[in-house]
Amino acid sequence: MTHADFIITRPQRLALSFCVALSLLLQWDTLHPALLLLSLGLTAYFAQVGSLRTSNKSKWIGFLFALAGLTVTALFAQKILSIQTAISLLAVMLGLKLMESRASRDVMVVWCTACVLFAAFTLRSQSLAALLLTIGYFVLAMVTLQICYQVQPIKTQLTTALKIALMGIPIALILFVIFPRLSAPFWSMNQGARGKTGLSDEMRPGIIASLAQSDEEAFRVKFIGRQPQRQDLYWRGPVLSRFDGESWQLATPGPADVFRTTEAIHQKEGLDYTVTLEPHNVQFIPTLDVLVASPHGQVSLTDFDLKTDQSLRARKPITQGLQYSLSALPSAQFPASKQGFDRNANLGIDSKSNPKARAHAAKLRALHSDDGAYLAALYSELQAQGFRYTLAPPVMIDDAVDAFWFEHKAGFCEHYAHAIAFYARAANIPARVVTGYLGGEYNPAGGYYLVRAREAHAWVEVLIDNQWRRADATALIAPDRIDQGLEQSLPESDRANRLRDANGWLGQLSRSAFRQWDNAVYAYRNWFIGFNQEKQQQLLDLLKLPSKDMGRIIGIGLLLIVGIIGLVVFLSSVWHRYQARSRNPWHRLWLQLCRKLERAGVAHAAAYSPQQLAAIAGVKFPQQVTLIGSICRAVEAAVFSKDQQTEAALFKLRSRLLLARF
Amino acid sequence: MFDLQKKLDRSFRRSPHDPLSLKLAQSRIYLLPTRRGWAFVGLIAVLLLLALNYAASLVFLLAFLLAGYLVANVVFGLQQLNHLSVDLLPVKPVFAGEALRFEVRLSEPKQRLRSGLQLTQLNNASNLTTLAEGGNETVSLMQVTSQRGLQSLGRVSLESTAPAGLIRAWTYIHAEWQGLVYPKAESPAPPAPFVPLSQTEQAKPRSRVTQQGLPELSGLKPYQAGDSPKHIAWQRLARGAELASLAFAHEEGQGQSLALDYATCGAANPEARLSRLCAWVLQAQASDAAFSLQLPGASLDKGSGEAQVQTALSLLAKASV
Repeated sequence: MTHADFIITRPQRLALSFCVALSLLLQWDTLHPALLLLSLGLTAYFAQVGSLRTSNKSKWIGFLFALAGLTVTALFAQKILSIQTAISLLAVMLGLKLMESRASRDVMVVWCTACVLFAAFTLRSQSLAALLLTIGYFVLAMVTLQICYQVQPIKTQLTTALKIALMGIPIALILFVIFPRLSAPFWSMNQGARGKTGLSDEMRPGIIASLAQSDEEAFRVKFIGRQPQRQDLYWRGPVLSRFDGESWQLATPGPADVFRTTEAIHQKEGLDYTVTLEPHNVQFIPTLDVLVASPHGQVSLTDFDLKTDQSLRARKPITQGLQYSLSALPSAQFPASKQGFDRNANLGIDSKSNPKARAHAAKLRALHSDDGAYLAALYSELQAQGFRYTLAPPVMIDDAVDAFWFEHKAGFCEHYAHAIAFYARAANIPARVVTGYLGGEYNPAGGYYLVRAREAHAWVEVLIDNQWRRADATALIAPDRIDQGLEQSLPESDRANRLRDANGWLGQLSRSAFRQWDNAVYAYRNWFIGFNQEKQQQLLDLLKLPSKDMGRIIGIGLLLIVGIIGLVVFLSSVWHRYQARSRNPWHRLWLQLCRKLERAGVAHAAAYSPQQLAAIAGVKFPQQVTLIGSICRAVEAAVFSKDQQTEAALFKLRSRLLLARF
Repeated sequence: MFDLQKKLDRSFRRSPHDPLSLKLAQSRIYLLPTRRGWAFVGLIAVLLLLALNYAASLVFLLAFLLAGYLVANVVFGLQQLNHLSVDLLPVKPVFAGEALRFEVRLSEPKQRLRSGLQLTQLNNASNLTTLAEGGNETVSLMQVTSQRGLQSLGRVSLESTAPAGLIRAWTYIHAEWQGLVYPKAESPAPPAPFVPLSQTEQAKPRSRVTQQGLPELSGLKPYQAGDSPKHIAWQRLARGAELASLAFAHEEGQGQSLALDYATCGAANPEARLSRLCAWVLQAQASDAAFSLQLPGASLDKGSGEAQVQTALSLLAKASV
């Protein structure tokens, strides 16, 4: 099939457009809507009518589209070197290429670009659905490739594609297992933040209650060896010690954040666990209170910082799934770090807000000079005055503590944390708010806990006798929240009416079905998405295959072999071409002319005799008639009548041909 | 080194060693990516880079699925050609200037669908052919001729790039597979010469002969250039009638006899003479006349019929003048 006589048929256009449109649509949240619509429009036009190259206006349309695309890309790019920019540029390229797609080679370029665009989608979305989508897209792409190559009934195409794809799957799996992985990327690009519900580095009343409705998964955690008690499952997130009267925020980076174990904890048996974290676009790493260094030392914590407030933070926002193993000693208190600890950082409230609470605190403090007794008095007030635990508390904006403590007496965990921390600080007791998660849903099928966004929690830590003590008022008001989880702790009216939370056989059945499903998801995330160098090593060990180094050697060896074969093939094709070229320089000149004319639209130029070609091409390209004529005459004379032609004449004609445009 | 060169020449079929009927074996089937295939490899490389950098398992999966597909395409390509029976059919002779049709009969013995089969030689390619399970098809390559003589197609390749054009599976076939090209018949050609009576006698024609040993006279016919002066009806001419020749019984219909001789046919150069002789042979065939043929280094006894014509034409085609 030569370049000139390839015609893109309608089924081919439809298949290709479908591929392209799917790739574009999957980028709906990355591409600017205008750009998306423009490229989809061009795709639809291509599917319906064909390439624009045939029309005179195509250059202008192409130019305008490129201009519009690049403008939109440049204007709305958050950063120039980011994935979004790359995706936008790919979309512009796709549209432009479709407009001028006429030859088999154009089809291949469009097809490859669509595949890369789809791969960019899987960079961001790694759910189980994305896996199914990837497999589906693969089959679609292969069928498209075949349709764009040969004419066969669609059913035959599909069965052939499936048959070949099935043949290739073992190879794909083997490659997946043994192909060497990198531990660190070559370069990193800003992937940009995507809106995700979850904890943030700020807390004010009402934020966490809004999470309580979210089914989104935060992380899964598997305990190795000793299993935890339910009340131990305090997952430490951002620790907020700065208070501005309304909200609690991260302290400005403190001095000397070092990873150091808490010194005074008795070295008893800890809890070892492995967390598979979903990307949440913030920097905190949930850890079980109280963190100790992993005894196995499997996970390098070089990318994490352990802050002096015992929270673990990544250096960059977590935009991809992450897995890490740690150890914890469950305890409700731990000593304050000795180095660089600033007591005043955890003190201080603004001077204006919540006047009633401020006065109340002064009154209580006068009665109880002991810090512990003061807090106990607060607790007994909470219990005595009938505070309620509810997901839907009244809105409290100004003087939230006053409104909560004296007026509504109902709130969610953050209201309690907010109030207790405020009271503690009002009495000059160092206090901070800790946000994180509490509990988790145990999955017996997989033996792990699933922690969702709705398990988000907030509690307080107060410093008494140089020990940070956990003060969780929720435990007092709604002990079920700790023992059984969120759903059980809420009054009936607040519970989300979910089928799987219902009792009875239907509820049981759907619960167990859900657990099996979630177990599959966990295995997928754990073993497929999280398949890294370590997992590879584990698997190779399991299969009694050579070690990591051997695997790497095999991988590099394979790459080398493929590379060498490629090089040999390339060189031999160059050599072959060199060998195949004509020994006669005049004949070569003739072939050059023919190639040039063929590219300019004279079909099968080489099939004519020099005289015929001169006549045909002379009519078609009047400006070049003398050049074509003289080449044809000279070639004829040199090749056929053995007249001696000078090298100089050859050189002159060759350079004139090189410069000529048809 | 010389041996290696010989071996390479043999395996790339630089010389015609193949039989006219063969069965394709794996050892002679070559498989390499096409240009499209290399583009596909490039795509895999880009995806791998992306996957490695972002540790993205799904991109790894996509890249490896594509790689697996490519490798499976190699197997599929091999399956398109392996075990195929190839018969190089005899080539029907043509006159110079016409195209020789080289036909190959492909038979499928393995109950497997073979698709995208194509016979190619340099820039010349046959149509794409699909072989049904156990079926057979004929593919052909046309070759334009300009000179008489035996013409071979040279090394051809039978290839398939099915199903996606990523991998080209091909085998070289190079056999003593030739088509005969007759000289181009001269047109318009002068009429073929009649045989002088004496020669006719010597050659023992099949025509009816009188007791005196002369052919039976059947009447008169209008004079044509080339008629022997002995056969002109001089008496009629003397009486003032127009010029006429004696017509003998064998000249009507089947009875004529021609002696075609390279030396006396009268054209300027050797090829032109052969062209004229060719035209005369065709004239003889058209009137079903017996003829004999004299060529330098070859001669053909008097005879008629299809076989005689074919022999004469091939003598003309192969004549070394």
